[in-house]
Amino acid sequence: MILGMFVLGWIAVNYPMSPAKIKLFVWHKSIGITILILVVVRIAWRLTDRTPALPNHMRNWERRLAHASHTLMYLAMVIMPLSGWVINSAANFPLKLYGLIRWPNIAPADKALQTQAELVHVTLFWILAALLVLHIGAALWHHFVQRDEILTRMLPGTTRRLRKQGD
Amino acid sequence: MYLTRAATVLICSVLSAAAAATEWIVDNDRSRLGFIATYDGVGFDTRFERFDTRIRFDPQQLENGLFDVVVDIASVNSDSADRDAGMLDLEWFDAEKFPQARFVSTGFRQTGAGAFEASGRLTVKGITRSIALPFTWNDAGNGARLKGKTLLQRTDFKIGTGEWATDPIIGFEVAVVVDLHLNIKN
Repeated sequence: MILGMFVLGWIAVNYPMSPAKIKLFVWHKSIGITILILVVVRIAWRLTDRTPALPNHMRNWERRLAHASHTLMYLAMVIMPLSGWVINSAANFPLKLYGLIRWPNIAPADKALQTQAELVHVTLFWILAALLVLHIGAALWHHFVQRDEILTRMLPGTTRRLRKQGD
Repeated sequence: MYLTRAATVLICSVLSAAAAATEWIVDNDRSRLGFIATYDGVGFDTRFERFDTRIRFDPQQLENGLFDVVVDIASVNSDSADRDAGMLDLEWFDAEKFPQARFVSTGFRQTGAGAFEASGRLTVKGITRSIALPFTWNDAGNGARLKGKTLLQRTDFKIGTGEWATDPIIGFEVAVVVDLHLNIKN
């Protein structure tokens, strides 16, 4: 979903001004708000649910890096759609999610604010992209090099089994 | 002889003053002239910051009435810098080539108590069309308030060419909205 948004956002920004450009942006904005809602739900879930412990073989710096990159990814996943919402609001464009649901503006019309939010949005694009490369790379490294359960335990149903083993 | 001529001039000027309907000037700070358009089905308000008017109107002398309004297209403001700039583009108002829009009334008729309709010629982007502008007129001593609204099809004036001419993402129907606070011109 996030990778799709990278592509969609990139195309929409560079597309020549046309009805198609507006529609690309409507999709980009609609999916962005959807991600925001999903991420908020996910964070609430993560905070109320136990996360399985990291494998014992992981060294301290690896643990710290894993925690830091996860925190940063969650932050980026919240601020990314939020800053997009601010851009749209400050630019004073109306938004109807998927052409159906009227979505309110979060900020007043303000060109300076729009420019700042755009800077945040595009900077986070690169940061989140880098974090995702790190995240996916680390997951593959755990699976193929370390040969531990990190990747497979992300699949549904495996957490319970892992917890049972740990108990 | 001299006195007679003076008296004649005086009488004539009094008569012509009576014949001309009242002239009004717009209180720009309190007035609004603009339009409501739609973006993806959601309306957005737009106003022109600069417009010149010559308004002569007296509900008792409709035959002497005149609305002549010249709008500075580049002064369009919809509280969105990007959209405002976009509206001046070639495909939309083409403000560089057509910097002004103009409405000149051709006649008035009363449609109800305090309600009137101005017929006239509206020129936008070099295209002139006959339109009707229904409005209400509230006289308050030295001031008056004119409120009117009329629906136009943007494509009638080639506003939005190319793909925009057939794609309804920017709605075809546009409501021109006029709310003028007027003072008697001395």
